[in-house]
Amino acid sequence: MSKVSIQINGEPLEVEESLTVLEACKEIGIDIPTLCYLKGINEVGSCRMCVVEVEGRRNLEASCVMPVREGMSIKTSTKRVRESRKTTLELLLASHERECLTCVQNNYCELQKYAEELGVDSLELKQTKKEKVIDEFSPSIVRDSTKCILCGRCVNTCKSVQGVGILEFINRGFDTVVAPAFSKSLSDVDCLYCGQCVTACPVGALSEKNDIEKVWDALEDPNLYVIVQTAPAVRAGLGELFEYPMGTRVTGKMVTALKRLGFDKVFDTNFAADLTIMEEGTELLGRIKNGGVLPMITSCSPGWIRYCEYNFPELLDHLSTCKSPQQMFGAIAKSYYAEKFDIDPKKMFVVSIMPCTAKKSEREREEMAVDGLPDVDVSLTTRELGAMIKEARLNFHELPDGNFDKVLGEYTGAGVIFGATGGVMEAALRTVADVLTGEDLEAIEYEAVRGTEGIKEASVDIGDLTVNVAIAHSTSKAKELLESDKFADKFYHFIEIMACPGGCVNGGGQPYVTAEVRNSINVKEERAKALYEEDKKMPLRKSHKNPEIIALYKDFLGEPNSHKAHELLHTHYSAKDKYHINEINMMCK
Amino acid sequence: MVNDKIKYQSEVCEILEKFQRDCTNLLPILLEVQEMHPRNYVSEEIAVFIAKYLGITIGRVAAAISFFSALSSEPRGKNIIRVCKSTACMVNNGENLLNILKKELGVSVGETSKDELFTLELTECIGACDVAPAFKINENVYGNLTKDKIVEIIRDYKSGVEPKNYKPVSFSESKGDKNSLSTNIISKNFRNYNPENLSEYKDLGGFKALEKSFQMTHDSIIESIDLSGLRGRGGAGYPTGKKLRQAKAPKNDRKVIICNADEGEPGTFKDRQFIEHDPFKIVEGMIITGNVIDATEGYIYIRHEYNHLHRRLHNVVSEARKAGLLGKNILGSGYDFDIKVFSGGGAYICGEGGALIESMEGKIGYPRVKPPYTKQCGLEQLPTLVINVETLCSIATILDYGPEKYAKHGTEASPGTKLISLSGNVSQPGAFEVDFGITINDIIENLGKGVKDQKDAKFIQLGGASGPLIPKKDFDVKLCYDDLKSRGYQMGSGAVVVCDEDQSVVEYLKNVYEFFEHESCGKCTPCREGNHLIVDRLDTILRGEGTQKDLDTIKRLALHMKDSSFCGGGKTAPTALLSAFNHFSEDFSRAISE
Repeated sequence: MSKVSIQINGEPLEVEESLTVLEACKEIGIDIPTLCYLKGINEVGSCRMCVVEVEGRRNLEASCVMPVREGMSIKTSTKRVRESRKTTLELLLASHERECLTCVQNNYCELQKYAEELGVDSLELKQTKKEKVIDEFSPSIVRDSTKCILCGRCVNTCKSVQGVGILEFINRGFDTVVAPAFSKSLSDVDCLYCGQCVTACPVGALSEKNDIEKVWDALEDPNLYVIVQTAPAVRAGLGELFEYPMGTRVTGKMVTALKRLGFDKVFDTNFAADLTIMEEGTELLGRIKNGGVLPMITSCSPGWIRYCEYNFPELLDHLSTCKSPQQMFGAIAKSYYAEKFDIDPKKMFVVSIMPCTAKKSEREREEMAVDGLPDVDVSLTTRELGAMIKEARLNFHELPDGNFDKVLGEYTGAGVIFGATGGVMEAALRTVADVLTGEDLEAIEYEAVRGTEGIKEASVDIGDLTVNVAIAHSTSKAKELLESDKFADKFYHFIEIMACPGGCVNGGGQPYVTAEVRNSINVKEERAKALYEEDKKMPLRKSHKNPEIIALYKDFLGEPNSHKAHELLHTHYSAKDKYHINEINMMCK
Repeated sequence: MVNDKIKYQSEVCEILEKFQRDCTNLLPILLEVQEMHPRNYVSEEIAVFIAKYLGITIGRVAAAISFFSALSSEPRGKNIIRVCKSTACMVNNGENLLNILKKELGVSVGETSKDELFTLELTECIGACDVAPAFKINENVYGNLTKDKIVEIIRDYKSGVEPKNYKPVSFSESKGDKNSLSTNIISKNFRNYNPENLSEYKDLGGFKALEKSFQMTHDSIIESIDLSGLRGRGGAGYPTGKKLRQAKAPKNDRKVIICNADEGEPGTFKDRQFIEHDPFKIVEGMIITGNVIDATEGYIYIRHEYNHLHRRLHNVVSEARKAGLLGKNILGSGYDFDIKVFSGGGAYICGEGGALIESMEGKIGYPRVKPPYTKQCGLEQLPTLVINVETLCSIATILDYGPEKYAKHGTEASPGTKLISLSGNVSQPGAFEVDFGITINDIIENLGKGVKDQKDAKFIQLGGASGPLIPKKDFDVKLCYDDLKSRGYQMGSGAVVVCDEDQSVVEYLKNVYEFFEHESCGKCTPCREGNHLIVDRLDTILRGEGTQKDLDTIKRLALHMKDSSFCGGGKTAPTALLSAFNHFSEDFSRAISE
């Protein structure tokens, strides 16, 4: 890569010619403010926050989309530049509902941060937005048009990362809003509820549907037995809400915090992840042996399930019939656990803490209940848990490490890595390999399925069998995989798909990460590391070795995929089509 | 919601087939589907159907419908009345035609009459400024409107007949008379032939320049253009020879030339003259220029507001094709080239090259990030030259007329001639070809036969909404690039909207910024938010509630937009305001003290 000589604020500099002015400035420690810019996703130069002076140019230039050139001289904080950025901020704030104190993004908001850091000292400009829409109809995501600054980060995340394209710029000019087609509610379009738009939003225009009050109420209800499960990715993200460096695992403090919040028992979704492996692994082996539909595709990610139901209804038979770990947990808690400890399941209130917004909607699915009792009663995001801990005034840093409660809090390393892309696959391979070979294999780290490459594949020799597997994360990558020749040729046996890029660690319910951080570090990898480290430390790293899982089968379920297991732990899917679009046959000619 | 059988299914299918089910044709598909529909709109049901067939998201279809002014997702009346609200019509609108129409139809703007016969809409400039005030009913333009005329036209439409006494404007009414100060080089053919008759065009010397160009090397053609001193006539004034050289540089099997006929600057109707009176010249200019830059395909992007002229372009292109002037091996030269006509959707911003191309790819008209530049990476990532109608016609003319001879016209620094659009409070509005160097005074007094009703002129706006206001004291300025620049003005499109002594500057500006408010694409912050706030503050001032603070805010926003907007549209939008602050500060002071 060749280099060019440039000057930034008079300082001579050699930089790679592929850099933008913004990136070149970053190299010498100048953080140009940006709002619309998301590297590789939204490089549109529209918000005009990142303007700089470039010698020889009549107007200010957006540094995020301007490549460096030999001899370029750049000024980043002249009065002209600073005034322009301030005016741009004022203009954005003029159209923005300034409810900062009560906003879900208070203290995380990038607009708020810049207003402070760039010294906005006047709010005299005020516009009246013509359309005020607050869409709260979906179980997962709230859209508040009065907060939207039209940066387009969500639009292009939905479009290019997820390949879905629900959100668009609707109308023109000052009337522009970001909304689904015909300004419908998110609940009336084929939205995945994955929440990647929420994590892309620099302000509070998109957020999760807040369910915190339901949990507080349950905790205060003396008649309820309130238990909680935490998904593996939560421990890898929660610390960020308390200023821990990204990738810090806070399992013990999280457990203590939950106990102090008043939950009767604090359990781990990892237990259910191990259970999922038992059921899913058995299902896979069954399909291979009995000539069932292959490849089998994982069903843990509710965003992916929605994507499949809307966009690939013809592939629904490929989905594992296993419920997701969240739902398996609830089903077991309200049956096995309730029976074992003589608790009335009707009085049991199951809360789950998920890195996910789609889980809120998964919980509401009709199929996710046994005998009329919903498996899970409330599903909170990692962010919502953080908010509860703060509201309860728990000094997170000072909390001692706690341990998950017995039985449903027991887990193996295989369960932990569910939170990262490739984790479910690796966990399954660990068990399937042991089952097929009849041995207790020591080589259990499947490096080929790890990492943040969009589509990964591996062929694993297990005994006489070569198992061909593939992993895709983000639904655009899922689409690519499902439309590949190899998929059509039935090359694969087993496929893991997660709706969110990076898997659950980067889910739509995880702590907000500013664009500045996202653009400079690999969030998916940092958080995943925390999980792989925990796995490494675990005494047991294979799901079928989990003693409580063994006991569960022995005492209650019988064996994997038994009739009872099917009743409680398996489900079905159906083609969904909000627009009845799949009913349109190819009627032109 | 879509059921398995949608209304107008076979009609929609036919349109989809006509456009090869190609999603880049989304805009023309939607326009045709809408036109097919008796209620003049694209229903949600049909939008879903189209999305499915083009393999794109419903959101993308919905976004396009909501972006382009010509499209509607709400059912409308059988007849759509679009009343021009832009400057030239405003200053000639003594009787307030909109109120008359509202009363006649019993509806407000945006509403449809109970009998579903009429929908009343406001539109930005329809390029009929020479017959202002004007409106369109469907494809028909009616000009020089008065109360009586409107009442009769509406009455006739109500009874389902074409108005008997008032024919749609054929535009030949437009004067553009010969005058000692007007010239006729590029406009030589205007009204001298049946504009859809190829042999008549040839009788006037048509396609001689093309034949000549095939005998010349590409370099020598570009050198001729250099020699003529031709600069882009769309508004930016970039030297054409240089532009052609840059467009020629990228080598590729497929290259594109787009004739920009999206003439959207209010007060501008000069490109319309070529489409109307000399359309073969456009085709000739495109073939010559296409050949020079090695283009393999050509498009004429014509604004939707000129939909009454679309058929003419289609006919002319097809005549040329029949005569072997388009297609393979044109005139035995070995050059293969063809032209398609593409309709805009009613969006000023699509006059900007990047936005224009986006709309041709079936997307909303947001300007593109540069680099990459259109000339390297334009339509479908192909090297693309976007070039104005008048520039193309000038190229064809210059090769025939001789570059040296052409350069003798005008001034030393601004050689040649320019077609100007004269409108507003002037006795004889019209399009006139002038030598560069004519003064504004001469334009008004000699070409325009003076200000209407023996009034005095107060100012003109030059070059469209994005051009400066020039006060009377500067009417001795010569219409040429250098003299204008020396006084801080720009030529722009060469539109001259004359305003008389009674015109309030603030009111005029409010009209201009309502235009930008409506036409800003909304992509970048300064232009989207700035124009709206400027309109708001001008409104405050006009209500008599303005303060010095409002003026300060307006000025600050104008400067911000100029310096920090994304595209040329936002950067030039503040021009009128900033010039007004320079020359009409007293008007502002009076407006806030009253």
